[in-house]
Amino acid sequence: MKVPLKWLSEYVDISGIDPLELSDMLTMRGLEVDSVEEVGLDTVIDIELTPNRGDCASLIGVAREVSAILNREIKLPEVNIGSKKTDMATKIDVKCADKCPVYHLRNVKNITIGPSWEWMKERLRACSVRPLNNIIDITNYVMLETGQPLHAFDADKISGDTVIVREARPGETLLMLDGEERTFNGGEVVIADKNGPIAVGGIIGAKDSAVSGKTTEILVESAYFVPQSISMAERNLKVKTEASYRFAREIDKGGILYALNRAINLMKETAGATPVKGRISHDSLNFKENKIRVNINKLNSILGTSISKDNIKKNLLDIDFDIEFSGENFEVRVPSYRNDVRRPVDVIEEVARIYGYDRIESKLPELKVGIGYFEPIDPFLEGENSLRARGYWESLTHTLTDSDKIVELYGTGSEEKLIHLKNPVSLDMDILRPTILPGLLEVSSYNANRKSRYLKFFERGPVFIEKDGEYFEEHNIAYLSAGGDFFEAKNTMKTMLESLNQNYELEYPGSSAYFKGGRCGVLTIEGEFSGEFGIIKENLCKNYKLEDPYTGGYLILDKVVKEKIRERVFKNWSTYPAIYRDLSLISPIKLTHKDIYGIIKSEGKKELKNVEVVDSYRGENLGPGRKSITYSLEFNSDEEMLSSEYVDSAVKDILNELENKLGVTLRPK
Amino acid sequence: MSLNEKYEKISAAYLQDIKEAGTLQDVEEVRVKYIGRSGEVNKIFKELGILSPEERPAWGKKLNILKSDITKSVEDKKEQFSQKDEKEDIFDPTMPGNYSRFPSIHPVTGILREIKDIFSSLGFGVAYGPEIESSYHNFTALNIPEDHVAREMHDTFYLNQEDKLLRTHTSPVQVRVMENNDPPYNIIVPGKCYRRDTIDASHSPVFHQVEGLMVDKNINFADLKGVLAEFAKLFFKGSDVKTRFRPSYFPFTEPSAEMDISCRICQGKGCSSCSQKGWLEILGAGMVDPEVFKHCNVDTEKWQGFAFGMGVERLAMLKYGISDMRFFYLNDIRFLEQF
Repeated sequence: MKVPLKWLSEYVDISGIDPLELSDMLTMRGLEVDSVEEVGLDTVIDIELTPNRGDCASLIGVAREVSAILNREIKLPEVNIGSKKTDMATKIDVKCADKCPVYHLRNVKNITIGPSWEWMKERLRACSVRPLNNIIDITNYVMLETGQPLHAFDADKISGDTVIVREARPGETLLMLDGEERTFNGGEVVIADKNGPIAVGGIIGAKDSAVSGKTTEILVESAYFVPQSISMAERNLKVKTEASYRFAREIDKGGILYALNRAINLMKETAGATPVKGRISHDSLNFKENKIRVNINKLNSILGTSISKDNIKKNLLDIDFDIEFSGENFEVRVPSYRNDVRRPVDVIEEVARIYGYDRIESKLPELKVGIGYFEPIDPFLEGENSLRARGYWESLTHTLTDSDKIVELYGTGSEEKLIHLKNPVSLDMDILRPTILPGLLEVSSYNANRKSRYLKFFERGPVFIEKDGEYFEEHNIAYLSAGGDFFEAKNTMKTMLESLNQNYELEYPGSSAYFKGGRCGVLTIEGEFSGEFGIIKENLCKNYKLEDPYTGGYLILDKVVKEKIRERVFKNWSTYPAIYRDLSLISPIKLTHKDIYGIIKSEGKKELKNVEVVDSYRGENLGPGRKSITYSLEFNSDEEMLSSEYVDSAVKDILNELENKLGVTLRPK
Repeated sequence: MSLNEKYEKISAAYLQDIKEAGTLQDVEEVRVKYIGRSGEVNKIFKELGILSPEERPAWGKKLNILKSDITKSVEDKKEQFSQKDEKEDIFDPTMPGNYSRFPSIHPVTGILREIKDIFSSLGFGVAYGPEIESSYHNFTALNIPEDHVAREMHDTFYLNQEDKLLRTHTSPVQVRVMENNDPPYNIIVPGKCYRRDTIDASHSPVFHQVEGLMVDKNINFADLKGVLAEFAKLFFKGSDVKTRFRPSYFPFTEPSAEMDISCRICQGKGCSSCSQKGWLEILGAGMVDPEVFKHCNVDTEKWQGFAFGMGVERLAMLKYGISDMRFFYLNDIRFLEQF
């Protein structure tokens, strides 16, 4: 809301107050001043109004606040109310009084359309309203002055003798003042004559019924349109105006006629206009000022203050709230323009606002201990730290992403569906991400283009998927490394799981959505699928213009057993020295380490404490289809010193079993 | 010269001589001069005969210590020369070696951690909630009815399922916590929020907020001021950070306030960073509106308290002097490595 200070000073004396000082005072009263600018010879302050203060979308509204702050009197323009009897021939028929409970029309004849007064044009311009002609300018001027939007119809363009206020019918159309033809959904309030709509109630007029250079007679409308109905129509028709802005914030129900007569008075002074005696009206509102009862103790308990009766009274009288005490309670009568004050707590806010938030002494509450139903601040921190220790940087990407780049991963047959936004802001952010990996690919691509090539990134956050018609949100941590091999991905996952102290299993399926066939692993925690890792599919990389191999993985944090993260049980170790045996084995090339390791572990007695791969080798000298893996076996006992003979016989049993079951033999020296 | 004077003189002189010795030869000469067979120290030894038998052992001990001090100094000095001489094995400790930086955490994560640390030290717990929300939790329960202007302040992303949207603030988690638990409440809620904004220097369709809620029998506006001013002090690490509270409007609080901190660049005088205001807005707050309590079945006769919300990116920008919100989501390594 722009407020030219010279104009403002017509309603309240602001002499001797610096504009910046005034701005500060308004800001501290909840009317936040956004800027103070010199416009022509005047200073204009721009107030960012909160939606509850529709009353201040007017010069008089701001003047009331200023008058309360400075304790200076407010002067309102004198308005001739006019006669109750009317000579008007027009009738009005309000068919939707629930959405438009008050509707007044006045009639002005003998108009000569021309430019308005220079001073008026200047004030309109200062408020960013374009001057058009004397009639339109007056309606706009009075709207800025009082907050009540007015509308002028060219009386000759209205067919029949009745102005109808009704709900629009679905499919009805209207060519509006801004040159656009819009179609009604139905239910919006329209002003109509017998041929159809001539304006959208409280929002915008029609091109056809507008005041033009040839207009000689007008009907001026001043009404009350219910805010919800205005917001709904704004949304349906995608149109917002200065008028709808004010109606949506609710106008002063006690000031509807004042504004109308103020406009007619001004018109009388210009263009040789002759107002027709009286007006025609519909008023089913029977407006009464709000009365609210407030308890003084409740007031002070909410605010943490001990504001006295006298002080409460003074503060409320300052803003024209009448107040009456009875014991520990008081009753206020709220002025008609303060639609936002409806409940005791609203009155409490007003007292605090006028008393001054700064004067309420701050204190610290007594600290209470024991809120047991919330988690530790971050149970997964160790997992994140394990990634950083391996050189991964944390990144943060948008959870909205581009469906084009990943849609191929989700075939039409897939049970899991992407979640599309109904109203995306751009096409490259049209879905909620089903995985963090594409975001990391994008980050890698961005940095690779800037010569930072071999970087590793990780991110934590939610991913989203639709399954069986329901939306699911999962908390993931994902990592991606430029270069590196399969084992980078695998061991990063292992260190992370170990840092979180989880019992997990790794399996190696043939295929995966994100990872190359044969180069992917799946992990399960407590038997449940909990993540994947491997080398990223080439075509996925290509979608992000990446060529080098990328490896990565993701862990579903919701599957991590939180109770285990900090659980530890101490186990003592043997005090006897261990005995080691290295076995260089020759195996068929298709057997896996897991196969061989499995036999060693199951055949090894309880004294076999540890088995490690120390070397692996492939070469023609081993014979076709063969490979060699060297294992180091550690034997020990908690009860006694093991003998060499005992260990040798244990190794012999293992070797026999390896040969019988797998055809794996010792490599000849 | 008495024995004592001689002793003092040698003690001072040998150090100076060693310091000035420029070659290995010089050092050797110093050694001979002081602790050689007929060096200065031995000369004093020879004079000990004039002392009484009681005094002699103490002097002997004293001179032996001096002798070993000189020996050590001479050897240290010699070692310096010998290191310089072994040209093949020059060790350069200034080389970087096998170095890699310890990767940072993202500044938004860092700020979130700081906020969580501060509020947990003030007795708050941490709660989380879904990002796909119902319009009931995001709006209706927070006293933002349909077709109310306040709803327009939130440009919302909708999903195809009826009634589902991406939460526009973290406030719906307040509602969920109150629905599922009995008062008192003392929580903060960090998380992502979504608004249908085009990306620019100060807007992002995805951003982070921290919501807070403190409700008990007697929590009031004075507590709100105290807790949030304390937060500002701890967060901006200085007791000279001034705070002020201005009346504002949020549908879910009444009375509502915004908290400003004094501009840290101009100390409140007014500069381009604070649009000449001298103050920077950092959070919104207020006493929980009775309508919200009603939706959550919390008895307003028994319980009262405050709620607040702050934008994490904005706090990060203020704290670190980041000029453009887009930096947070580009993840340029030159940006990340600064935190």
